Order: sequence, then C-alpha cells, then structure tokens
Amino acid sequence: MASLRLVKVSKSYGNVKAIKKIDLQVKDGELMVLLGPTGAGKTTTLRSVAGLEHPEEGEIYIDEIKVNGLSPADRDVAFVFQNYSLYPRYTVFDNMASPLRAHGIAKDEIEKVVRKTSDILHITHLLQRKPEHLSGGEMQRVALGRALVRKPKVFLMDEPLTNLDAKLREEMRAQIKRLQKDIKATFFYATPDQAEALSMADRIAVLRDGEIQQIDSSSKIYNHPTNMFVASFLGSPGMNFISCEYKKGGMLDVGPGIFNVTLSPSQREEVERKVVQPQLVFGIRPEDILVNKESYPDWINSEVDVVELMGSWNVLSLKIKDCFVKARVPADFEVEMGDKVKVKFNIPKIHLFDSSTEKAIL
Amino acid sequence: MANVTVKNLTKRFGDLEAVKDLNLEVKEKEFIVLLGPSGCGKTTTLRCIAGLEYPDEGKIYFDNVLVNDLSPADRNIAFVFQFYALYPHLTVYDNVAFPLRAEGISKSEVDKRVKDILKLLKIEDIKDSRPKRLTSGQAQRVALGRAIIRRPKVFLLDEPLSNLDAKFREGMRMELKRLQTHVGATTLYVTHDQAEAVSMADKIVVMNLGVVQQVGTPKQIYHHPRNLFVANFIGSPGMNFLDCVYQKGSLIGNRGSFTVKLTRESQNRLNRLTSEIQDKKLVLGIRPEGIVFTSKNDPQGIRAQVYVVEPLGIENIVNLKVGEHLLKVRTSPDFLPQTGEIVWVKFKEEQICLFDKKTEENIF
Repeated sequence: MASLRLVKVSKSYGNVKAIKKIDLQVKDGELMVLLGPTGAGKTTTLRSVAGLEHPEEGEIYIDEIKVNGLSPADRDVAFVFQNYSLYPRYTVFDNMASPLRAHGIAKDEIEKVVRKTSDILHITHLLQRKPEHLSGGEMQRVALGRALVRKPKVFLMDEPLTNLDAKLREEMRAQIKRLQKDIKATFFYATPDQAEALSMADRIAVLRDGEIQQIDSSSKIYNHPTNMFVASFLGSPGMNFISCEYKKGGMLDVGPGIFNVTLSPSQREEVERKVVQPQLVFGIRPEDILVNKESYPDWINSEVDVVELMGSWNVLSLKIKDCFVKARVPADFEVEMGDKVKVKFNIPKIHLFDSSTEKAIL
Repeated sequence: MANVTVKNLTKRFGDLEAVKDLNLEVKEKEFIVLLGPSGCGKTTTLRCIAGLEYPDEGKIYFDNVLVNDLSPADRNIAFVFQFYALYPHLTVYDNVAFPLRAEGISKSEVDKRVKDILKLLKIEDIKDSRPKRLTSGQAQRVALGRAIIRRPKVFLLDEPLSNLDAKFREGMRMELKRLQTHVGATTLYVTHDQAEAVSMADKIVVMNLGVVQQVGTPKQIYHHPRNLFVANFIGSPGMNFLDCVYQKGSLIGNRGSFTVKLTRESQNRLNRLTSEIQDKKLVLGIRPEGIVFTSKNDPQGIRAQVYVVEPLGIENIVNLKVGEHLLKVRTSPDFLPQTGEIVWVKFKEEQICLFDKKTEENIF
C-alpha cells in the first residue's frame, strides 16, 4: 500500500476545464472520498491517477514517485467501476484469478490468494458460479476481489455502489469500510452520495465544477462547512438558508424582518472580527431547530406547512411569516398541517455565510 | 375529485401474471402510494386504472361507475410519467395552457387558470422559456402544471421524481405533498422508493410479485409490518433480523448468541397466539432505533462486538456483530465506539417484531 499525492492537477476537454489545480493527498491506509454532483470532475480525477487521462498540468505521485510518465499498467493501481465488467464466461474463481495469471504467478499460489481473498469478501461459496448467476452485490464483491488479489498500491473506486439498490448499498457501505480497515489499503473513492461519503470516509474532498471546496473529516465537513455549497450538499434534508442582516450587539435580523436571533458573545466576537458588510446568510440544520407545541415567551411563532414521516423521525416544513424552514423532529412528535407551533434555534449551531462570496463566517 | 375502487384485478402478459387479484379502495382526496421493487406490478396496476392496459379480470370504478370500457380520454384522469413529455416548440405558458385550449375554453379563462397554476408551482418567472432551457426539476413542474390544470378526477403519477437528483427529489417530495393537499386531488402514486412512500402517503399499498402484501398508513407499515418482505422493504437502514426460538419465556438466538426475556404480558400474548410456539423457528425483527446500549451488568444485556461505525452527520449507524448476525444501531453523532470493542445492548421490547421463519408472517 502507498500514499497518493496530487499537485495542481488540471485537465481540460476542449474548452471545458474538467478539473482545476487539484491539490490533495491520500495517506497510506486512508479511505479518502471524492464527493460531488455529476459533472464535478470526480471521474476525471480518478482517471488521471490511473493514467487513463493525461493532465495538461500538475504532478501525480504514488509513494512519492512521480507517475505522470508511466503507463496505467506500470502505476500499480486497481480501478473498480460502477459497472463491474466481469468476464461473463469465466467462473468467479477465474475472474478473480485472471490478473494473477496475467502476471504468470504459480498455480498453487493463485489458488491460495483467491481463496483467502474470497474468504475476506464472503464469496467463497460462489467461486464456481458464473456472473449471470450472481446478484448485483455479489458481482460487485467479485469485482472488488479481482482488484484485491493484485495487492495494488492504491485502489481507485468510481461509484462502485451506484448500481445497487438502496438496501444493498447500505449493507455494502459498512462492509467495504471494514474491509479497507482490515487490509489497511489506500482507497480513493468517488461518489455523488453524501451519506456514502460521510459514513465511509476517513476524510472527504468535496468537489464542485472541477475545484476542491474542502478536505476534512466527516464531522468537520458536516459541522464546519467552509462555504454554502458544502453546507447544502451534505446532510439530508440539507441546511436551511435565509438572508439576514447583522446588527450591532450581535443581533441578526433574519429575513430581514422575519425574526431576530442573538448570537453568543464568542460568536459575536468572531463575526465582528471578520464581517465587512452586514448582508449575510443565516444557515441552520433541520436538527438544530427546536419545535414545541407549548407556548414559551422567547420562542418564535410558526405554522406547520407539511409533515413528512420518515419512520424513525419526521421532517416538518414550517412557515414563519413568509419564510419556510425544514425542521427534524422525533417520530412521536405528532402535528398536522396548519397546527401552530413554537420554534427556537440552537444558537451554538448557527452558521453564517458571506452573501456574495458564500464563504463561511461562523 | 373522485373515489376509485378496484375489485379483483388480474392482468397477464402471456404466461406472466403481472397483477394478481388486486383489491383497492381509494377515498376522495386520498394520497395512495403503490410501493414495491421493479416488476412487482405497481405500474401495471396504475396503467389499468388509467385505461392504458385492459384487465384480464376484475372491475375498476370511479365514483361507483364502472370504467372498464371507457377510453383513457373519457376517464377524466391526468397521468404524469417519469419522463415528462413537454412540447419542445411551445413555451412553458403554452405547454400548461395546451389541454384547456384543446377543450375550447375561452381565452380569458385559460389565461386566468394558467396564471394560477404557474403561481402555485412557482414557475411564473420561466413562463416564456422553452423546455430545452429548463432544469429537470422545472420541466417536471411544468408537466405537473399541465396535468393539474384540467382539474381531473384522479391523478396518476408514475415515479415522477425518479429522474431528479437526490437533493432535488427531497424538495419536490414536500412540494408535491403540499400541492396535492391544496388541489385536494385523489392521487395514486407509484414508486420503488420507500422514503417517498412513507413521507408522502396517506396510505401505502406494498406490492411484491403482483400481489398486495399490506395496505396501511405509513405508521402501521413501519411499526407493524405484516410479513418479512414489508419489514425488509421499509426503513433506512432497514430492520435487523435475527433467527431465534421461543423457550421458557425467552427468545433465544442461534447457539445462544442472545437471550431476550419477555415480560409476562408478552409471554401470555405469545402463548395465546399459538400452542406450537415453543421451539418453532422464528425471526426477531428490530429496527435500528429499537436497540439501545446498556451495561455489562444489565441482566437483559446482549454481548456484541463493534464491526464498524458509520457517521452520518446527524447520527451514527453503529454496526455490531451478535453471533453470526450483523446489526445496525442508530446512535447520536457523538457516540463513537472503536472497531472490535465489546459492547452490551438490549432490545426495546415494544419494538420487537416476531416472524414465523417458514411462513414469513408477523405473528406478534
């Protein structure tokens, strides 16, 4: 296993800049997720590392050795795709053995490695089957197995779970994460699914329009997004945003004219240090809005607009004057459309963004 | 608006029975979701109601009038598909106005109704755009607008959100529900997405292999699934299942991997249900929020090993090994046990479901 480092890597297709000066480092044994919407440049980044694309600018290092000039075969990386691309006429065993046979490894050694790998992936009972008799999840495990047997330096995984149904995706998520930890492999893993990214990653690199937005651990990315894009892309439902105006004394006029929020002294200090213009965006996650049916003096009046049951919790769309926010409440908090409720914001969890640069202030 | 009744509907395609003896009652203004995996017969059912397929057996009534022999056009329904078919050469305004103009309604009346709909759907600002300039979400709203404007008796929606990205789908879910309440339309909605079903439906019809598995409110379906199929299909992460037997008042896992001592009340209930409950092969079902962490000294504590922890920002999913079973437990985001750590958990008894392993029916 090895580390991977990208230094100012750029790649264009005609006039379109697919990725722009990508700087990132995946540590030895780390699971780094590259997260972003379709067209953000995730696949281009992975293909550049694999040697399937040639960046016009920048350097790529595997174990601190520059690989820009090396062919894909000489980079010793394994690529796992969304479409598993197994050999249809081979058994699972032969599919997994094929990369080893290509390297002329002895038969009994191949047998040993395939058996061991299939044990790790819980597919030993499938070794004699052909791909057509496998489920989607089984096929994806075989594809992983074929990558694993080679013991490559780096695993590149391009949305490997996207074609599986929701149920299986959730199961595979945990299994791949555990597998990566057990074999201490270096994974560079692309996905558009924020839940997949949060749940699996040691660190997440958020990509938008070919540019890195933030690289951090799951909890940092979720709790301290550096801009509005990251804040809105992570979390389900996403963060609520409302324009606001900063007033002297740490007061936020949200809406403006919808409701007021007073920041804590430390928040106030931080904002006053950074803010140059009073026009800001107030951000709050749905779980940081407290909702109550009782009447308290300093809580804000609102009306239930829509109730979404989610099984273990409910999402409420709440109307505060002319403004709508989503709040997450326990499943046993029973309200109906049109009910009057009171809301309050969890002040330490408030986010503030600059309205023009969209960068985080708080 | 109308009520819809389907009686003993069967539809075959060659040898394949796509829908088997389906019965369904949709009340006026109700939002019904047909939910199931691909190939379960949900779309075929919807197409029979629309008149796009002719049932082999059974009867379909709108407001107690038999409609089997009516053409789709005469049924006064609106159908919205996964792929919104807009007229590419017409503006958003003209696309929405189209069905009214086709009916020869006066120009001023058309204008008034179109403007109301554009406002309702928040697409007033794009009224002069043509479809190719629209985002998929905008296009889907225009398709909805064109369906609503005719004021049909019944709305039929076939996976209308499937082609939108995850983020946008969430927002549209809420908008659709708000819209349906405002318009007050009787709605039948087909999806394979359990979150869409649970969040929007008044009632869910869960289907598998052409057969209705359960009809109920989202809460009934979530908390009291009738069988293993329904239990497994609803919820994210899904329900955990553990093989067990019932002996001397306790549920006991394979090779003694866990023991859940039931309250006297539950024991009585189980004994009343069936005399052959002892030693019958059972499956214990428990949702990720029905498992709680406890101490080693808790007599109800079950020993488990942490397999892996999945942080999701708002919460963590802790994966645990209990015997040969892998369980998912929902916890707060600050609970971060180490992989391999030994922990103790217990199951909340009121959240336990019990299934007969052979028939897969919920017996508890």
